[in-house]
Amino acid sequence: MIRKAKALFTAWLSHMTIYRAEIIIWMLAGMLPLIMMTVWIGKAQAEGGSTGGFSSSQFAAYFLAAWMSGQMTVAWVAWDMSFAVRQGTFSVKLLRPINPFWEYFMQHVTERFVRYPFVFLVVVVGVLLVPGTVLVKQLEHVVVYFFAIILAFIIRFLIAYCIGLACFWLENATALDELYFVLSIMLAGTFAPLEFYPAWLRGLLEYLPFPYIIYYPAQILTGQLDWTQMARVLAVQLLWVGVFFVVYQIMWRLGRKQYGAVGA
Amino acid sequence: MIEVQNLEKHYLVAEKEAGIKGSLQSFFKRQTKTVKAVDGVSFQIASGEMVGFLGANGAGKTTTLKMLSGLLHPSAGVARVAGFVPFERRSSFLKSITLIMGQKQQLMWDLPALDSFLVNQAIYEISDSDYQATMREFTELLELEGVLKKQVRKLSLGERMKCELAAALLHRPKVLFLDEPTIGLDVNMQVKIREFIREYNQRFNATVILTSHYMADVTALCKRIIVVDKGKIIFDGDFSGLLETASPIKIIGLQLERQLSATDLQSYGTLSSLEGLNATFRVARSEVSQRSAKMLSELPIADITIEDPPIEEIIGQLFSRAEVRA
Amino acid sequence: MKFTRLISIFMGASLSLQLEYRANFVVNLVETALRLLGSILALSILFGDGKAIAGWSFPEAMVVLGVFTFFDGLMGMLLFPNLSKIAEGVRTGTMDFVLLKPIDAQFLVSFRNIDVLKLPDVLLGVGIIIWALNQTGTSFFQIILGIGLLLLAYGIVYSIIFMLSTTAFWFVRVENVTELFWGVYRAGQFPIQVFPGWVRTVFTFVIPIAFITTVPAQAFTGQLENSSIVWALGLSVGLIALSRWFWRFALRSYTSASS
Repeated sequence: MIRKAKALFTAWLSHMTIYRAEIIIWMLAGMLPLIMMTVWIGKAQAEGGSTGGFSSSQFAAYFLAAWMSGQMTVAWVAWDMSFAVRQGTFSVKLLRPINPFWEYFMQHVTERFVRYPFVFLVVVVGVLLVPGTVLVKQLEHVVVYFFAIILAFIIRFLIAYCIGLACFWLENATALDELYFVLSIMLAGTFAPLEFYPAWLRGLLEYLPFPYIIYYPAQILTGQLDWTQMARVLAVQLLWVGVFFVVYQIMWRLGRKQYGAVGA
Repeated sequence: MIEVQNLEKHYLVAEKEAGIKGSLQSFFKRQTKTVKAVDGVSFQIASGEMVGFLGANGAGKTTTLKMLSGLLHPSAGVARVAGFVPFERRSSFLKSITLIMGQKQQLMWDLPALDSFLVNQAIYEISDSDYQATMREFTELLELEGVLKKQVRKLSLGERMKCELAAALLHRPKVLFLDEPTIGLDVNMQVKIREFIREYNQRFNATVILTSHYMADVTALCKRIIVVDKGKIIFDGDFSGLLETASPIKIIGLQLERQLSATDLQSYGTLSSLEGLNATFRVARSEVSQRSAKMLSELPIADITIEDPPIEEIIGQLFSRAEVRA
Repeated sequence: MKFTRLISIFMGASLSLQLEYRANFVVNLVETALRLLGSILALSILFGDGKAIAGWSFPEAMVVLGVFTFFDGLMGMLLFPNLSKIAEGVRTGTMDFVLLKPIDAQFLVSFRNIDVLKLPDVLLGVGIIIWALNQTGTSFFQIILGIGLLLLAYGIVYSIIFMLSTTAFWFVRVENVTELFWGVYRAGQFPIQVFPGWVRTVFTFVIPIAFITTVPAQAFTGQLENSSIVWALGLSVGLIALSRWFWRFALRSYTSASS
């Protein structure tokens, strides 16, 4: 298993380094949180330095952390699978003595290593541009964030993979993925820290996976949560991983019988 | 090695009339019908055998191969390959087969083929020594020297196909499903691939099922032929048997010493062409010896050939006969 | 007219193609509704404390959102289905067939396909504009001026995306470049004045998003300065002319794909 992972990692790493320019572009295309950051900073400045208890530098810290979390949890596997099923190349993956899930998983994990340096660079520039921004207060938060973001990525990946498996039944699963994307922008905390959301929506979000992918990791990194709160976040994340893993298993079993191996 | 009993695969397909009106209709109320792509197919293939799978487009060849390799779940029937039920996708099953479909990419487009080979080595858990040995053999047989380190997208079609083959056979599968392995390649390259497949079959005693549009692939490689039409097997047997059942005629070609008219020749059989000094006849198989003896004794003949009709024609006749029966 | 007839034939054909995928139709409708809901949520959160931002009240900002949604839909409906095919045509060599046809090639690559899935977006955009203008009040003259500026804005949007897509003649993977534009365009759902100083300058003069959403919205609500009209007119005409020149220039680099 470790050997397989290592081989896939090495190969994907060389693959991804070839596509580094694209990775940077995709990274910048997802800059809605950064746009929102400037909007909120503009509002805070217009209202004499702070709005709703957040100052410019606090907004900067939150949105930079949120953007970084979004970047670290990007998953395009639904799109890839949909394409592979239509082109028939998914058959090739099915023929190998390894579940395609792991191949895609490794591909995504590897991509993080190529993407992270650029993300880090943007975050550093952001911190320098907005005076007084403190992204990390204590080093422990970075450690907890590390685990939280891994779990967040697994949740996102599992969701995307299940959406991808849906193309065994649907003509095209990319539209569903798009749907997920729109929902996540709205509900994960990309527009604003969830503190600004209406109370009823805030309550509802606790029962959805979205805030656990972006909002809570960002809160952990910027040191807004105490230890019990952080433990709760990690526990809920684990729960979501479990839920979507079961969904994935069921869909995989049923979907394979449905698979038409179209396109010769 | 391969056992198939009453294998079936059904698809649901949507139908629509042409034009916007039809589109709108089918948008609200979709017409579907069930198509039996494979309709009760049974056969057995022994270890080491090479079998040609023939049939028109859509006859069910590829669907059958996909069921045998575990990609598709059969709608009915049983298939066993190398002792496994394909659809279960056991690791040891997948390690003992390969399916090659034209130019379908195993290889990572932007990397040298060697990188993809290393990935396959790990995925198929091939030991370093086996890997080295196989690579040495393949490099020699397929003339891969200098090709392996180039980016795949920069390879020519033929070079790419050779690398695809090597990648697909790196784990030395015992069963090969080859779906149009030479499609789009030039004649020279077709011959090379064919030779490689034969060599592989002999060295590893591998079982091979081959579909191809190029009759030459099949005649060169396979003793046994299975012909499918509309999801059913209409012939299963060796080549000579195919000729006897499907083609009751032989073709006699004459080279004459002097010009003769069509009327002079008509009494010797059905004259199918006469160009200058060359004449060809279509003669019933049972009458060949008697007719040719008569020609030799009565006509001014420089040379005589007795041949089977081209295989394409035979298969065509087989199909039209199946049509009549159905 | 030859061009209008051609457009209707092209669109009929691509319409029947899309009706094939009815699941997509429903999903897309839901997506559009959600997207809009998201944008309204973002605005209402931003205006949650009831204060005007940079001189914009909530309904006025909604006009900007309406224009944004309208163009979002229009781009998806008319521009992307066509312009994304330029890259494909260059890569596969099918651009040959376009260039061989006895019609203006830029016209042909620009108006061949239509994505009717995006029509609801366009209509929703118009709906929001009407709803928001009902709150703020407007006049007949302002509406005419607004529509005029929408047309100019369309010229700007078209030229930018067209030129980005035309870079396909040099760079093979151009879809990423348009993706980048999409990302930046999202900033257009807010009035330009909301942004702090230098960001505003970038969105006005470097990537003229201000002229696509904010300026038409200002025309509708009667806040437009005369100088903006001149700027919009100059920018639109200038960019269209530039796009035509750029297309001819790019054609010189076309190497018909051989295999």
